Amino acid sequence: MMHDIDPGLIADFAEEVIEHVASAETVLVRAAAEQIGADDINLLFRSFHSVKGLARVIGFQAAESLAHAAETVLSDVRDGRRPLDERVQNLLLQSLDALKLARSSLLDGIGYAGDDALLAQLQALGDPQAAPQADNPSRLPDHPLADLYFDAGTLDGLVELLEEVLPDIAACIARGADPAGGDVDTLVFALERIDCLGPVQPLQRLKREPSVSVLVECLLALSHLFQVMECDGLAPTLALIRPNLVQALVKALDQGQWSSIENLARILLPHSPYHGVLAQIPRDDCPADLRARAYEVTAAALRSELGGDDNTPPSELGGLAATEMRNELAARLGPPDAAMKILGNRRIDPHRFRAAGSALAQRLARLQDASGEFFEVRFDVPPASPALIETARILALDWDPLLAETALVDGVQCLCLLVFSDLSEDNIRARLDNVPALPVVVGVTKMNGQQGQVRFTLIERREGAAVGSGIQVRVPVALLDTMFGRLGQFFGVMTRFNALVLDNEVPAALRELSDYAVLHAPHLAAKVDLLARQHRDLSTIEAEAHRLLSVVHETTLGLRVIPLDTLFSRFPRMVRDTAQQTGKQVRFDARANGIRVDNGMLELLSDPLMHMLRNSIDHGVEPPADRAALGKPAQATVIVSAEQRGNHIVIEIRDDGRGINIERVLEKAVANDLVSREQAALLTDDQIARFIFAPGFSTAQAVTDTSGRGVGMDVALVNITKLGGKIDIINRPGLGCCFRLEIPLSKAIQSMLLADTGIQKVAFPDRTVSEVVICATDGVQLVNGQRSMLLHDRFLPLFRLIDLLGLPPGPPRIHGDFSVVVCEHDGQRIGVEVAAILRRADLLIQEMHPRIAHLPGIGGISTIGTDKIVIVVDPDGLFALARQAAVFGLRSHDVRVAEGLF
Amino acid sequence: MTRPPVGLVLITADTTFATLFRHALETREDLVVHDAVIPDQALETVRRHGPAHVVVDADGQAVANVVRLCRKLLLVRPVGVVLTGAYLGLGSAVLTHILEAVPARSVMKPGGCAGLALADETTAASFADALVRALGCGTEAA
Repeated sequence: MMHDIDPGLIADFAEEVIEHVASAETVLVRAAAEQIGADDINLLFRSFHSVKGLARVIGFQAAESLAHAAETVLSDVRDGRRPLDERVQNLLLQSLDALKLARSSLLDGIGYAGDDALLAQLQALGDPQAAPQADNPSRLPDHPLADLYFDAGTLDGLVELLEEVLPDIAACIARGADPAGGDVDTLVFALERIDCLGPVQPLQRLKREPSVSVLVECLLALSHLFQVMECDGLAPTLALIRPNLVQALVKALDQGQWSSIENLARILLPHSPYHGVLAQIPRDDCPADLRARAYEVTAAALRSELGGDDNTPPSELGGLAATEMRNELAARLGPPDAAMKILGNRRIDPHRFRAAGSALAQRLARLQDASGEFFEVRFDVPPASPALIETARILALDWDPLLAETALVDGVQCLCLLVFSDLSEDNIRARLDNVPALPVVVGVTKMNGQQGQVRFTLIERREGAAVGSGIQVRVPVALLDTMFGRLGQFFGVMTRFNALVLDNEVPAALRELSDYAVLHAPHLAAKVDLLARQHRDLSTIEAEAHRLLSVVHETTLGLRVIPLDTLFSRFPRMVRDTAQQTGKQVRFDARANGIRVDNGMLELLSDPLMHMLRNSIDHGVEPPADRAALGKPAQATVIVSAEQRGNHIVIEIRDDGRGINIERVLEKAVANDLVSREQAALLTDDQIARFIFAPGFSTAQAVTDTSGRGVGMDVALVNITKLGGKIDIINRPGLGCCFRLEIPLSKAIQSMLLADTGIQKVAFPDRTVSEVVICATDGVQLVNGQRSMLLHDRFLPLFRLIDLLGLPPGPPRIHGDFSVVVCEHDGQRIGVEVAAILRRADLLIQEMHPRIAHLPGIGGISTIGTDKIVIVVDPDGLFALARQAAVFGLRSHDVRVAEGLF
Repeated sequence: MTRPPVGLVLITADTTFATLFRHALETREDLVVHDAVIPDQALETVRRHGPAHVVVDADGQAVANVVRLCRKLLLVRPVGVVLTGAYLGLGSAVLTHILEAVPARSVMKPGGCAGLALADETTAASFADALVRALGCGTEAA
């Protein structure tokens, strides 16, 4: 079946399935810890639905069946018929696993037969007969129907009761006899018990006024009950009394009793399209001739429909006639097409006005001859304030808006008016501002087709819209690498171009030629001028090309890096499964803090983190009973967090379990000949703990699915070492353990604030910068000998960046003001003085030359454009330098040079 | 002998319309507005007050939600349902859809979703009259 499928389609299937599976998995794992909302359930549903569609495209029946079965279960969950309980979550997670397996089998060219057992479980769950009574009322529809909704037994009981009682009541009424009071009371009692009081009153009235019309009201009320229940429970009863009802409808049609006709038609012809039309024609604004015709057409249609079965869908002809009737109602009372065109030309949705009533339609019709424009006027009106009515009165009378809506604009409740006026925006605002009783005008916007945050503009202008905006494309990493290679070559070409343009000998030669031409060869002067002009143009073009290449370079840098969140999002499912397998209760928290890393680094980090998390849960976290005995909460906490410290990324995996049992590790290390008893006596606890990284080392008593084989932690150490990093263990016996990974930031991308010292560009990590201020020279004061400025009523110590980092001084300042980057780190704030603030940029932090790698305050280097080196500030080091400077004063640049630092 | 006023509950998410609706009906002796509440509080409020009629503001709500709300209201109490909205003119597709699903009557809001024109006494009076006629849905219109 799939052998003939285009490999491209299979690749697309594999790509998309993995995305849908990942997003569904995230939601399901979250559902275990918290109650998820309708949006999440819809996302789950869509994910399985999409996988089903994708599988169908390539004829992958096993995957399609599985996705379909899961989708059916989710359909019940979405419609409130089944709670998303643990059993459902587990089955859905298993389905995701099965789909992952199906995907990899497909890619590997191995057949996938499907998981029949899982499919059977899902199908059993999706069977409506198997739907259990929900155990979580908070997820059910509104009370009072919630209990009944899921209680198939009660509903069946009610259906049986109706079948038993209603035909007798109907028969009595048909004979003109009083129905037995006991029968009615039985129904009333049952309905009161399930808190559905709607049919109770007509039923009680039926005892007093036994008539067909009251009986129909009772049936109508009961039919609502079954409609809400999506149950056809009334059908058997109606079949029994149908002849009586048909007879009553024919009589009502003959006599023109339209309210009875409507009720009877709803009972007998539930699918008739005339219900909607019938309810509209009694309205005041329906013209008399149209009303008469509408009744006539409807009566004929109902008589014709009565000939069919009660559940027969309406005939196509009947439906068409009803639609035509509705359209005629709309057309006779709606605005003319010319007015609709005027609205459409101003991007105001004309369909909004099509059914906005005859009064408005007449006003819109007059717009064709009037000169003016549409404006949206917004007022800040406190909800339900006493001033509202007065405001509304003034606006309604003086401004007569076409429409008025209450809307939230930027989180503030506003009254938005659509006004047609020949005044300008400013004049409208001025006139409104002059009315004392009116509230503040928030905005006046002319509806002239421009983009903007306006309430009444609904139409998206297609012409000129950015094609493909919001569309994403997949790009293979290899293609990206090729592109970076080409970009590198382009840099090389640009450097040569730059060298040619900036070659000082060319202008000198041109000047010499020009002088010679003036003196000795005037006929060549024009040609020499042409060459000089071309050289100048070339310089301009080179500068522009240089700028554009810099932009392209910076933009493309972001393509290779991936948020650490992408990696962390793989863990919740694994943590959940491991916790379930080991009988532990674990709350997992992942905090990537916006850090992004190179894709290659991400892959090398994946396994170490996975192993360490498993290790924490399996060995570190105690079973709930043990935790309770120790006075700890039954649910353990495992946190994985990442942050940048200096030129390293630090990732911590922390748990609040029992910590590493040092004695047992030592015992095992000695037993495995990793260390002698004599040597062991000299080791610190930290050194002993590191034996867990030895290949094959495990203190577990038994091998489990998750750990105990002694493989894992050594892999973690190998991978982190490959990245040039290290792993520290912070062990607190009885309280928990923390694995701290430090990885050089060699390939990490960070958001930076770029600044200039005058001769050197520097970058401050975004997370360090709290604000940027301009300080006047006379704003600097000496506080205890420290240069400081007053900022937000507090003194901020000021340091020159060139002094802190020992950089050569830049050119002297021309004006008196200077820029200060306010840095915050570990609760301390300092102001760092720079010559200029440039902009924000995402920079690729590169490895530093060993000669500068040890310098404090410098966390790395980067480049912008083709060759501009940027020094990346290390906040830790910078603050250490600032503290040192505040205490000891600063060493001069000359001293640092003398010390061989530069 | 004067008839007791007909009790109403307004269900709307628009506080401006709620204010103006109450204002428009405050001088009527034949109508009394028990409460004006948001859709989430509709069932409980109708159960508590047991009004004869419920006015449901269809603006700003999904059509399916309006239908669902109306059906539930009809179960909780034997109320008459009147739909109101700025775009529920005769022949409106939305109105037709709702009326095909639930027995109800409808009145137009004057001047957009907020019903701004209800601040004007004349408009308010004609709106109230139209509402009264819609409430009397048991009477023959033809």
